[in-house]
Amino acid sequence: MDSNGKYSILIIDDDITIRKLIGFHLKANDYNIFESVGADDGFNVLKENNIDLVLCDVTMDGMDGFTFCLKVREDENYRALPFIFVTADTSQEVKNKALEAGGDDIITKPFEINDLLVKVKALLKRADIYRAYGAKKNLEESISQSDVSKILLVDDDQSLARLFQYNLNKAGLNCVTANSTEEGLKLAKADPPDIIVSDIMMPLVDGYEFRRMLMSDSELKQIPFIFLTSKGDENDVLDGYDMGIADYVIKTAGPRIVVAKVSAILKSLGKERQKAVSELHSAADRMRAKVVPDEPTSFKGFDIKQWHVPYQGIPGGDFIDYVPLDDKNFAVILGDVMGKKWGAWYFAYAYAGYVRSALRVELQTAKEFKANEILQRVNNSVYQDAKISEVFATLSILILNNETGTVKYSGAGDLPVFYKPAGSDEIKKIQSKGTLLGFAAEGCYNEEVIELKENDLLYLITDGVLESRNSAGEQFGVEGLSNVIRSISPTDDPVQKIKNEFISFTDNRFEDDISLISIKAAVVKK
Amino acid sequence: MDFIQDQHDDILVEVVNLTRATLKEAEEFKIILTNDITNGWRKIIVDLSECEFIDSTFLGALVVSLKKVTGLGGDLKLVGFQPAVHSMFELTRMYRVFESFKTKEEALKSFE
Repeated sequence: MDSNGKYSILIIDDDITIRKLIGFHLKANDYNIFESVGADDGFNVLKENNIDLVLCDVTMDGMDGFTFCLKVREDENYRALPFIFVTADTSQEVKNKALEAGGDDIITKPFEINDLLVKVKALLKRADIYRAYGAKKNLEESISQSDVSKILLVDDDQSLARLFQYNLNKAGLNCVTANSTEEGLKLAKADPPDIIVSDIMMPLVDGYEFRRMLMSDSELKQIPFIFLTSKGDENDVLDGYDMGIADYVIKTAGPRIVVAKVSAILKSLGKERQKAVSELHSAADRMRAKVVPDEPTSFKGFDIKQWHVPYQGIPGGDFIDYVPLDDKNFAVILGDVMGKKWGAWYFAYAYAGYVRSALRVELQTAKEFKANEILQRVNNSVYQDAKISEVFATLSILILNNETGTVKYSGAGDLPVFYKPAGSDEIKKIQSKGTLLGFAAEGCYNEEVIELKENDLLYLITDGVLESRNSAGEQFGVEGLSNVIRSISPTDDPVQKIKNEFISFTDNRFEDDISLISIKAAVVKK
Repeated sequence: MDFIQDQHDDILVEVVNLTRATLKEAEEFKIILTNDITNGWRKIIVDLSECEFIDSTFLGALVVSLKKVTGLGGDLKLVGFQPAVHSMFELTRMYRVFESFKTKEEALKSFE
C-alpha cells in the first residue's frame, strides 16, 4: 500500500489490449497500476516497487506464468503475495497447475470485470488479515499473563533442584523440575514453560547440548533460557551468551539471586506484551481497521451514546460502527468476535475489522435498507472464507430512519435489544432470530421493526455486560440491567447511569469486553 | 479431571466436569474436541449437566467443534442444561445451532 492508502497491482500479460483493459478498470477503482510484458520485466517491477497483488497471464513468450509464479514464491518476501492467474484456458488441468504453482486464484477470459474486481478486493483483504496475524504469531499466550508463570528447572542434582524449586514456588511461581535434559525436553514440549533454567554439567547430555536442542525447535527457542552452574569461568559465561541465553547464574550465588533474575525476565516479558499490543495497534491502523470509533457519529433525530472498554486493554473482541446511509437513514452496528480470549486476540482484531468493512461495503451499495438482507450478504462473504471460519461473530444491525422514527433491527446470534418506551416501567427485550455470523450458509435472519416515539430508549449490549460478576459471584445479568434501565428518566444521561451502577456492582473488575450503545429518539416529525 | 470421556460404541461422550466453564478451560476443551474429531469420532455428545454457567468463549469452543464435525458428516449434541446455561442458549439462540437433550440416554438414542 502506498502512503495514500492505495494498493499497487502488477499486471503481466504479453497482450497490450488485456493489460490496458484490466488497467483501465483497476485505475478507475483507485488502484495503482504497474504493467509488464513478460516474466523478466515482472521480476524487476516486483523488486523495485511495493506490489500488493499480481495478475498474471499463463501463456507468454519466454517464461510462462506458472514458472514465473514458482520463482516468485521462492523468494521469502513474496510467499504471501496475492497472485491471480488470468487465462483463456478453462480446463481443470490448468486450474490445478495454477494452484500447484502457488497461485491464489484463477480467472478465465473472457471475464466480467466485476468478478475480477471482487477477487482482487477479497484477496487484498485476506492478505491484510494474514499480515496482522503473522506479525504476532508467537505471542498467542500473552493474554493469559495473569496466570502463574511456569519455570522449568533442569538439574541432575536433585537436592539442589528441590531447593531452587522451593524458593521459586515461595515467590509465587510454579516451578517444575527435571533431572535430565531428556526429561526436560519432554516436559518443555508437553507444556512450554515461560522460562527454562538449566544446569550445564550433567551426565549424558549436558546443558549446552540441551540448549542446542531447544534452539532447533521453532517454538522452544523463543523461551528465555538461563544457565545455572557452579562453573564461574569466564569462557563458560561467554559460551553461554553465544547461544542466545537470557542470563547466567552461578549456583553459589544462592536461590534468591535466581528468583530475582527469573522475576526480572518475567517483568520484561510483560513489557514485550505491551510492545506487541502497540505493534498490533499500528498494524491495525495501517490496514485502517479501527474497530471502535472514539465516539458515535451524530445523526439528526436520535441521540446516540456509547460506552466501550476492551478487556485487559486489548482491542479486538467487540466492534462498533456508525454508517450514515443517506439523509434519512443511518446504521448502527455492534458485534462481538468469539475467540479473542483463547489466544487469537490479534486475529479477532483483524477479523472485527474485516466484518466491519464488509458491512460498510454492503451498506453503501444497498439499494433498499433491509437489515436482514444486508446481514445475509455479509454472512455469505464471511461464511465462504473458509480460511477464517474458526472464528465467529455475533452482530446486531439497527437501521434508524429519522423521518418516520422507525428502527429496523436484525441480529446474528446477538443478545436482545432492550427497549424502554418513554414513561413506561416496562422493559421489552426484542429478540432477533438469526444464527452466528459465518456459522451456516443460511443465517435465517429476520427483521424486526420498532416504532420509536420521543424519548423512547433502545440499548444494544454485548455479553460482557450481562456476564460480569460482583464479589459474591452473582452476574449483573438481564435483571440487573433491566432494573437500571427502568430507573432512567428522560433527563438522565442514558449511558452514564448504567456505567456507574455497573462499575459499583463489579467493583470495576470486568471479565470481558464491555460495549453498550444507547439510542434515544429525539423529537420526530410524523 | 475437568473433562471425562465415556464411550458408547461409535458415540463419544465428553463430560464437562466444571461448575463454571469459562475462557480458562475453553482452549483446552477445544483442543480435546479437535483431537477427538481428528481421531475419527463423528458422533459426539457434550454433557454439561455439571455446569452452572458457561461463558461465550467456552460456547465458542463448542461452536468451532460443531462446525468442524458437521463439515465431516458428523454431529455434536449437548445434554444437561442447568437453568442459567439454558437461558444463555435461549438468549443467543444457540439452540438453533445445537441439537440438545435433557438426558444422555435421549441423546445417545438420537444417534441411532
